Amino acid sequence: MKGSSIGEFEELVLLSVAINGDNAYSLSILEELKTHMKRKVLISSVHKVLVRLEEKGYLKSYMGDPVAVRGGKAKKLYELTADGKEVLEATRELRESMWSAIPQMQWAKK
Amino acid sequence: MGQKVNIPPKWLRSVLASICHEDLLEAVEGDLFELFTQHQSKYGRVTASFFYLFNVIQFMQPFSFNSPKFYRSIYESYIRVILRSMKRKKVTTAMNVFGMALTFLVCMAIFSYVSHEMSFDKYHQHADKIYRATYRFQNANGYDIHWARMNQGWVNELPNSFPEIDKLVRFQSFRTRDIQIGSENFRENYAYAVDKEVFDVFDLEIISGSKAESLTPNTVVLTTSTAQKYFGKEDPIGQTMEISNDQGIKETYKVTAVIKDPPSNTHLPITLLTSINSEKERAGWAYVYLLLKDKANIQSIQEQMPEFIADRESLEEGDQLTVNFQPLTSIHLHSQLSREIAANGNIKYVVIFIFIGLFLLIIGMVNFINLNTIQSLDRIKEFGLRQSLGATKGEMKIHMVLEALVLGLFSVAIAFVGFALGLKYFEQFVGHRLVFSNIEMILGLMTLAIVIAFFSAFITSISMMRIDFRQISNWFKLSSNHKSVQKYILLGLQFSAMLLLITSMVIVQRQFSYMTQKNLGYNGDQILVLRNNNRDVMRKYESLKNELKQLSGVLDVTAVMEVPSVPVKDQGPVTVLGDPENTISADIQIMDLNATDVLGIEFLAGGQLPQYLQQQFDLPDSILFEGFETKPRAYLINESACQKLGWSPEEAIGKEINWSIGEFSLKHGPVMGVIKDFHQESLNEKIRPLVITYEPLWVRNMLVKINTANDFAMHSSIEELWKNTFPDQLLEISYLDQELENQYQQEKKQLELISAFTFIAILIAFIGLYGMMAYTIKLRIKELAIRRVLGSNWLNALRLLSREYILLALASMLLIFPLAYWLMKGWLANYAYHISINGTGFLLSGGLLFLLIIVTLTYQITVTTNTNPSTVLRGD
Repeated sequence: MKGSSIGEFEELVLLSVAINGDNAYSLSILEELKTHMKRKVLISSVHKVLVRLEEKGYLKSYMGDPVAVRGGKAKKLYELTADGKEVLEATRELRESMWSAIPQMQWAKK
Repeated sequence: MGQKVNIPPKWLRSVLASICHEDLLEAVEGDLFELFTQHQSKYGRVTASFFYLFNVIQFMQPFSFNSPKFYRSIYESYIRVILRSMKRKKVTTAMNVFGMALTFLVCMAIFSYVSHEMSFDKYHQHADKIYRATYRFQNANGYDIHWARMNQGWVNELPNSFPEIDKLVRFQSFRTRDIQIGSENFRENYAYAVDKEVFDVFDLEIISGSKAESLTPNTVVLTTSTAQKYFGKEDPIGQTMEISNDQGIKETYKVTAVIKDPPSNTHLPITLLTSINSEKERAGWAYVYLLLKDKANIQSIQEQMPEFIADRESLEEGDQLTVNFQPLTSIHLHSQLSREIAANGNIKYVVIFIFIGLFLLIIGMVNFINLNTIQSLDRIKEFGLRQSLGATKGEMKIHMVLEALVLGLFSVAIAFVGFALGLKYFEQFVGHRLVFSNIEMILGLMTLAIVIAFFSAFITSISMMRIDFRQISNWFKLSSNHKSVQKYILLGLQFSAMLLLITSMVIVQRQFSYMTQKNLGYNGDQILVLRNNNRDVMRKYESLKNELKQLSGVLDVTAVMEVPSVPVKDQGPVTVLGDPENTISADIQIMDLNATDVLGIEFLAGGQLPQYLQQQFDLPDSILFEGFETKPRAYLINESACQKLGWSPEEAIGKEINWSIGEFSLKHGPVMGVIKDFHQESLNEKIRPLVITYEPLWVRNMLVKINTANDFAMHSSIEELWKNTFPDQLLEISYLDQELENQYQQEKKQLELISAFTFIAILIAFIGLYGMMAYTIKLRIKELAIRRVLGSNWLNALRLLSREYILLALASMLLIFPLAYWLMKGWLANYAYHISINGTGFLLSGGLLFLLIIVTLTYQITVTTNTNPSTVLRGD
């Protein structure tokens, strides 16, 4: 397997792909990131991460049908691979196991 | 609105298409289209286009680059082919890169030098608001002198009279400023008494100590290097020292601050600043600087000055006093007044350097283009093949541009390394650190390299595109190109640049050697100067003279007011008794009676000054001053003064004249002798009328004529004698001939640089010429072979091939020689004493050019004729 860990932004992009289901392409992912992260994201950064994730084997892509709103261009649609799903779950488990390790008393003090 | 308006601009789309990876292109194009439509409905088309452009730029990243199509298939192969051909043609490539790198290197050197010269005083925060007040005095007798400093008391009133002036700072200078710390004596050349406001006007960075306390009465501010010299590692703040003024009166000063050494690009070097201790001391000679308020205009002050001066000066009929304000940043290159602080630069030299740089660039560029064209014409078959395989003309042009770029950038890289390594030595040669902007230089050079590459590719493509590659036979017809117009233009340009450079350099060199070898009118050899002595020393002159004469090796001792090589610039009217109409202006020089002998100054008529001028030497100064006006006088005059007065040398003897300046008026006395003109000042200055007399109060320098090879023993015995006589006084001793040489030091260095750069220019031109000729011969190699088979010999070949070059050279000469003559005549006119232009420069440059052509051709022809004609002809 190529690259077994992912960065935060990569994780968020993977999650956005999962959220968008059948319509997961660069712009919908961008919108998703913007609404959840509440900050500006560049379109090129999204593409960059998508390319990288596909290289790592967490995503696979296929071309959709040409659409008029896109000037007759097709969307490049993405979906999670089994590896992608696995890596997301692994990250989540890691987080949760670490969260549960925080002593309650210690956390409340803050 | 039509449908078309909703589409992003076409050119932006094609930019995107050219940079973006094809796998990603479809998706990105679609995305950006969607975004564009959104933006357009929200902000309008223009803003949306900007967003689109911004988005396109974002995709200029490695992940999205169109790498397979662009890099691998075209550029990489281009570069590979270019590198291969460079490897194959090692000599041509080496010549080309070397020539260009050398050109760039010299351009960098010139750039650093010129930008240093132009950067003077610009580092001050208020540089554009600071002006120096200078004054010029003219009278009806032709007296005209423009001083860098002022001694009028009313100059202090300027800020009160003109509200535009924010601050006025006086830099009061002294002939000598002697500093005593404990038992050690120092003398500072750049020591001034200054106003406290100096810190608000100039950027003087205080390193330690307090600004508030500094320059309050009896305080002194040192620079880091002065502090280091005086106190070493000790903390200088709070230390005290005795500082004496021109009258030799000592006062105690306390160090309150240390400032950073001023950079090398200032006309105002500083080593030590003392306070002005009272309003009374705020007088006398001073360099006066004004800081204007924001938005104030110096012009309006300048216009009101005549009125301001008229209210305060009572001028005699025909006298004229003007005050001029010089912008601070223009002083270094444009001000050549009397008593400048230090020798200033000269815009003339800056212009010469820029010209040489331009010429060099022309020569270098022409070379580059020529050699480049040659190289690509050599690969005509390759181009033909490429085109027949489907390469477009555009792609071939890209190839040519790339090829020129590779060579150009390679040369830049070499030039950079060379410059980085050589800068240290260059600075050592120039004598100071060079202040210039690295970034400007790098950017400039890169741009230059790119422009040259494109231009060269353009010229090359003109030759290439003319070839019709569809005809296979054209692939082999190299010779159709050897008579192109641009080749003649380029070569002509190079010939002209070369001729102009050599001709002018020969004339410049001749002028300079004339100046250094011209008879000065006196003999400065084997004379030691004990310089800048104050009254305390000079009061004991007579006894010291006798003691010095006792030393073995000392031939004679004399005293003068100003040492030859130092300008006098004390000019006043000379009147003739019984002939009031005959009045001239003349400088005064004070010399002991034997000075004419010591300096070997020749007499045209008459003889030395009489003995009675020497009397009463050791009376107190006050009594000497009392008898000043009534003391009997006698004079010597120089040839120029004699002519100006309208006398022959013999007539002049016995005429009663006097000399005065301001309130000092010397009594009328007889002219005892007329001397031949000698150069008191540098040879750049015209010899002016001069009156010489002897007045013990006014001599400041001693000259010791020696006759010994053992300088060291001589020096130490003089020093010992001095220490015993004046334990508290500093001895400043030097050789007169060295001082004379130092006068031309700056000029000499600049000329050496100019000659070196010119030599490099000629070298580069030679490289180009050699390459060009080698190529021409190559083109006609078959023709030559056939001619040889038919019985033509070596000489015929030379005649045949050299004709076009010789004709071109002659045409260039016809054009350039009158231009060179005119330019050099203008340049020489700047010198008071100059050579007349003769044929040497023209003959030399013309001859050199012909020689170059003939030698190169002969060599090339010999090489070609040594090969068997059959090998050449068998080729295709």
